[in-house]
Amino acid sequence: MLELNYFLVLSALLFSIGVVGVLVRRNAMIIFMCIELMLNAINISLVAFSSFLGNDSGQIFVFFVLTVAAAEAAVGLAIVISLFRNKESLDIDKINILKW
Amino acid sequence: MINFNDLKEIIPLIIIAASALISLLIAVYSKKSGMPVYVFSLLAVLAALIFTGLNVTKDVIIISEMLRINPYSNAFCMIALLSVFITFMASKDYLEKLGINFGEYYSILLFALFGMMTMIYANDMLTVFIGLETMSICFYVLTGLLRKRMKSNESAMKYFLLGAFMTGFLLYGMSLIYGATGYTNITKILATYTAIRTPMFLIGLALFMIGFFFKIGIFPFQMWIPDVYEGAPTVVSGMMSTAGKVAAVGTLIPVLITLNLVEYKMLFSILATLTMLYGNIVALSQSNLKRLLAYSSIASAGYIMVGITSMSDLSIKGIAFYLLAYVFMQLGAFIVVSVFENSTPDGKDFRNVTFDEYKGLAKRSPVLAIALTVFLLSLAGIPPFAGFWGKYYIFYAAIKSDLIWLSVIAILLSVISVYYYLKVIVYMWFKEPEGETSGEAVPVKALSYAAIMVSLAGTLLFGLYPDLFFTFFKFLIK
Amino acid sequence: MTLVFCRTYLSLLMLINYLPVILIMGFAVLLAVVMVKFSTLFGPQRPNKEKQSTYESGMEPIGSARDRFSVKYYMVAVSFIVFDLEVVFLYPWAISFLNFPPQQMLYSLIIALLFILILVVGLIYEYKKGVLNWD
Repeated sequence: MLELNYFLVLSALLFSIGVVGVLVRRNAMIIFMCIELMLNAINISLVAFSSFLGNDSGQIFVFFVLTVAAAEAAVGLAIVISLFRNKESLDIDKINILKW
Repeated sequence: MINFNDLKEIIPLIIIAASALISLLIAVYSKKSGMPVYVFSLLAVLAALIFTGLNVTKDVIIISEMLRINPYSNAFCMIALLSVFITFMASKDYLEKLGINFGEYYSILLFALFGMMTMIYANDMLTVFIGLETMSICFYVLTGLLRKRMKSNESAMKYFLLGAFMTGFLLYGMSLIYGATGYTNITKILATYTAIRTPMFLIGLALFMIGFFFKIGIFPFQMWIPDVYEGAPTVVSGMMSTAGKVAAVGTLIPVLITLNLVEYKMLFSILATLTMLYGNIVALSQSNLKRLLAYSSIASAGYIMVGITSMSDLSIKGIAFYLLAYVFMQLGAFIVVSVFENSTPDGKDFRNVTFDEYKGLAKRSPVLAIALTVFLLSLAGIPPFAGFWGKYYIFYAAIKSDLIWLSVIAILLSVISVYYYLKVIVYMWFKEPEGETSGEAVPVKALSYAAIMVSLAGTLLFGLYPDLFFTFFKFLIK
Repeated sequence: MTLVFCRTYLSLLMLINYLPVILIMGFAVLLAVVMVKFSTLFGPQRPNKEKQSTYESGMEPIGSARDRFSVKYYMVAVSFIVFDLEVVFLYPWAISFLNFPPQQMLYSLIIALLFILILVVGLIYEYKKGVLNWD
């Protein structure tokens, strides 16, 4: 049996990679993929907790996170497509009509 | 355990969920006219409002302890339902004007409402998450409803990316809380938390709150509000700024009050101060009315935060009243903007939303001007209107819990806010109309008119008789 | 310090339990390499133009792979993602269905049917919107 900490560190690392990716990358699609990475990192920690606490709620939670991520992906891609049709670009630095 | 008897406690939720599905079918089977789905969804919200109102004093925990129906959650639910009801009334005319009268709009809004109610009734982090996400995903779609318009696309994109990013933090917080306590059930977490105040739990709680502060618009997480509200269809902005806020506040407050984090009072009051400061100061330099209302929404998030900081039963009462008043005045103001607003000739941008275009509105349509004046004065907190009592109860609760300096700052900042609200009023009443359409009255359809009148009536009624609220929600006074 | 070393060593020892897995993985890699190498070493090699083209059967590759696709693919992909993941909820239900006490069975069956009904409403919506029509 491995220690719980390994899983938590893995999940925290993945989560941080996702956060850094969101903050650094400039392409809307890649930012979105980084967000998905964050959600998957959370799934790892939920499953690890669930397994080590001997309690099922965490695993059930993961199902819902997966489903919500899928719904979010569907809506997010639709928004990306409608933006791309108007703008022909996904660079978020060019999305700048609205300010102040 | 679960059984069919539980279902009769959540009739309002079932009504909204079922009507969201049915209205989707109605929308797709009656493509030509938007009337059936409009009437149907309006009736559904009304029915849910009545059912919640009839059972307002119920206090039960049901569906495997997933939902908790109690007077507080019922009160917040009713305010959210009211907000969506008024939004529905005003939506049809506005959507027809912009050519986006899809039947799906009503269905998505009902799904969003379902999410809000689930979230407010939630007694388990899982239910909170599902409700929050149902609401947010519907909001992303509604924001981007004006597909052909750059601003709408852009605000939907920003809202979506930031919203999903913040959901990640919220979820990570939930997972840490689950790891620290071993429960996802909020009642059980609250019962055990004094025993295990580990760093893991506190970090989890902080991340959890960050997720909600983002939805409410508290200071470091407020940057999306002006952009999103400006780009979204105006009635949707009105709904998001009222119902969305009610849902997030209604979910967070019972938890925070029970946790009673007295040692973090200082942190909360600093956040409240910064939020009010940011909202009110930046609003001074605005020239677009939708954006101004967005900043005033940040400022009111600050007032709500003052209430959260005081952490007493008195402050819940104040916040509930403030939110009710806020629904009437903020939504009313947005609806007046939506009625006056129009598309530019090429259909790519909004027209009649900057102050200059409001010049001489009083000469063109006195009723609209009077309504908007009342809403803005109420937002500023001028006495005979409902907004004044909302602020009064919140600041009163703050003074009662020894936060005198915070209430002084809040009062000073709301005096500053009078300046920018008065600027709009001066433009409407004391400047001459300009432009080619200057002489004409603004066309107002009957339903939008009714929505404005309901908001106006609410603002005046609760301004003149604030006790009405507490006579209905007796339980809020202990 | 020694304690830390001991613990690391111990957890490495735990990995011994996975030795068969590692052996199988190593064997699989070895086998793959050997089979590919042997066939190039000992097999007959008579290349011609047809055999050298990218796909030996099927179409000639045309254009770049980074072209835009029709939005129709997106529609199918989205409906697939959503419906695919909804089924995740039916697995735990199906597994635990027989373990429910008899008076709960009807309830859980009705709840599952309601869940499917919601999906069906979505499907009807898609159908009426013409998402399922390819042309």
